[in-house]
Amino acid sequence: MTHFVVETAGPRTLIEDAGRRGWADLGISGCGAWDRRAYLVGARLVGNGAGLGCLEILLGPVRLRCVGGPVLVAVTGADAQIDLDGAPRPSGWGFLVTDGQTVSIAMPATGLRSYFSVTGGINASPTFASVSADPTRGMGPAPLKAGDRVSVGDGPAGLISTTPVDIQQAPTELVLHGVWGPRDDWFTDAGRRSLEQTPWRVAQASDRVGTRLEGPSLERAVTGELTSEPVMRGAIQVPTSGVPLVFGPDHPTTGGYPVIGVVDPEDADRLAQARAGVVVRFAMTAHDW
Amino acid sequence: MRLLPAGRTAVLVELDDVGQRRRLHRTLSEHPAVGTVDLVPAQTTVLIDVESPDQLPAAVAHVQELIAAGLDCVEQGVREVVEVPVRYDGLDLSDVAELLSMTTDELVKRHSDQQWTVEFAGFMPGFGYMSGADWPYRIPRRDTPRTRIPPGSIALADGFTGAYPQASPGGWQIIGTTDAILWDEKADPPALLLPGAVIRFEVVDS
Repeated sequence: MTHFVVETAGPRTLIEDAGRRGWADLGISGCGAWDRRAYLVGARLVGNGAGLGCLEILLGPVRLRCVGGPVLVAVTGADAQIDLDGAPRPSGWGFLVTDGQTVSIAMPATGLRSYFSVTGGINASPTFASVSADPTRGMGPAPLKAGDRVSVGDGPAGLISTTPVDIQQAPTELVLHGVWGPRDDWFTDAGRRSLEQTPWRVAQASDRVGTRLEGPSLERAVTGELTSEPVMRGAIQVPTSGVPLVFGPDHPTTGGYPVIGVVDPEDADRLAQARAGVVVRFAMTAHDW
Repeated sequence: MRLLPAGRTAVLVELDDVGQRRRLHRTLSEHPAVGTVDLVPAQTTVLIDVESPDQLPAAVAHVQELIAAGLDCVEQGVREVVEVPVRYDGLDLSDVAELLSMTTDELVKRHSDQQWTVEFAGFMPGFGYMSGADWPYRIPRRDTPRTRIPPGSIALADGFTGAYPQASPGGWQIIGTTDAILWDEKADPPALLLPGAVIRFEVVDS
């Protein structure tokens, strides 16, 4: 069966798919590819249906040697340079890899995460119907290391998109739209204004659990402790420091700090590509029900 | 009772008390809103997360109707009791007994001589927060959290008893150990301590 040998694993390369939603009441996070648009585009370029595994590559460089094949692969997400045995290949477009050839995914110039998709998907033993790695909870496959073999599913390709996808530079400034609440009333008017008016900066300590931000402390109207309540992907949680963070795919399922608002899914996913120092602004609206 | 917005696909229901929250959670477990992906209970809140934003208004209306109907459409039958064997040999057993001005024997008796209800899960897969009808005590966390609470530990914090499927650092006070399999990701259901489950701790010799 076709597989890839990991020659260089990069700082963190994870097997991810569409995630494992539906188990939050047992403390299990949704996980899955963070930049879902890049994951889905990659799947289309290699003819995969929804839900198959890919590699989510943080920064890089990553080198993968093909054993078996030929297989169709595509790299999407961050604007990384790709080559096959030293010859450049376009990102955002499928290309064939045959036995013995090595795909290299370089450090991207901007952005953070590249998605390596292959026809048939990356195979791993599923946990709760998903092959997604959740290293925070020790669930799913371990982060890849040099020498690992990642096997490729043998499912047939579906419809393959032959339209090249424009891989863009990651922006240095993001506007994230979202909905106020559930605990916006725990903050003063000044605190809520500050959330929208501050040019927040992405902090180095960010990971798949959450994007930490740097900026002022949001003023609280209610100073007591919140009884732990469910939290969700995209939630803007405000811990004791008053400086917000935005939960990512591996977020905890409950939390004891107030959530001032929740970022819309497609905007929250853009944080997957936001390096430290990127400016984040929030544009919040009231809920519409 | 309040309905609070929680993003494009979810609503957080804040209940007046734990009993009301239990009834809403049970009612929604049996009569879920269309499109429900996650139904997550916590102490006095329940989150309903649906597949797509267009399903949210109907989910909100569904919750409002259930509440208006009094949340009494659930059978109040007795649930099966899950027995969890415990060796009451925890490192903090005597400290907790002292804190409650009772002997360790009394503490063990009070802890094992009643039914506990798994109120909600979280913190780690398979960890259940259990409350007891005859357990009025609020136990403070240790001043210095332990770097490792071993798997199988039965521990106390606030008004809850918790059981650790995996090792974790933490400030909960350890009173005992169980050999029960609390979490098996290949099993269905994977957790022994499911939200809503009724638990009794059975004393076994150390």
